[in-house]
Amino acid sequence: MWGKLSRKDSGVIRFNEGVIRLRKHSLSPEDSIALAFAKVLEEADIKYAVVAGYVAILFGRGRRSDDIDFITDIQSEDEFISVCRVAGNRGFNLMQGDLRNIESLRKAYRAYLAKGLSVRFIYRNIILPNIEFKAAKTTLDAYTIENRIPVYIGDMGLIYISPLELQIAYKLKLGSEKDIGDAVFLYELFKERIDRDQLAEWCLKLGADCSILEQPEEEKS
Amino acid sequence: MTLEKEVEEARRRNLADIIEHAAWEAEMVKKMGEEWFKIRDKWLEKALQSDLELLKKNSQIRKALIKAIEKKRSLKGK
Repeated sequence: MWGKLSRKDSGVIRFNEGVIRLRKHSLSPEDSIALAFAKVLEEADIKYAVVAGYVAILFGRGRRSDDIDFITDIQSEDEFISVCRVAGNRGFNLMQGDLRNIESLRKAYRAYLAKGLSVRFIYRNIILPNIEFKAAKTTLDAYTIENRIPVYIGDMGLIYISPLELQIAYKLKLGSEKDIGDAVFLYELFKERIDRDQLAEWCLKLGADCSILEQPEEEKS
Repeated sequence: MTLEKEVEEARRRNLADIIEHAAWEAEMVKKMGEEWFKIRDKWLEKALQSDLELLKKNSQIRKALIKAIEKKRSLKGK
């Protein structure tokens, strides 16, 4: 199932032909919630990509997250209602509306998603982490979904994530200590697989300083 | 050293630690593989369970948490 071991891959993570396979048998709560919501979107036939902190957590970063960010290519109220219907059947609740009330969902769509704001889904009464759900509105959002990477988590499920080069550059641009830590973690983990030209290009476009990634340990600060 | 420089130096050292730790974690994932995930996932699960326990004991915390999430959303403009 895992193919031939490549010098470029660690035993637990394989990255071949644009597909990542993560060999693990346990799930963190973040994984379980993210996978449950990914299944909602698959069933509702909505394209998405997971971005931000959860991408680092998925690959083993030792920290928690308050939210799991999903960017979706949802285009209409009806598509949102369809997502909500499936989400309700799969154990989710919506913080900004009532999943059983179509009018409430239409209101939530107009008040939040249509304006580029996010709504939050809560899984089985777990407030943190929750799902932060956003409709793609910007060029970056569209690029992220278009170039998403499939990640197979053992035989437990599939989740799509943002392209790593963009993710790292974006985290560096955000610039908090947590974000820089996530960027370094992803870079160190995937440095043999990352397209450095593309990373440099994203850093340039976003105005992020990616030199921190290539400096010797003692100089990285 | 001025106070400002002291704070700046402390901030620099802190960031250096964070970077070093993140790189170390990536090394651990590579070296330990599944074992790392097993330990990490167990830790995350325990952390979640203690949160849930706390929320069960005090419903005010739950309400405050929901308020805080709403506040965070409006501050982030998300």
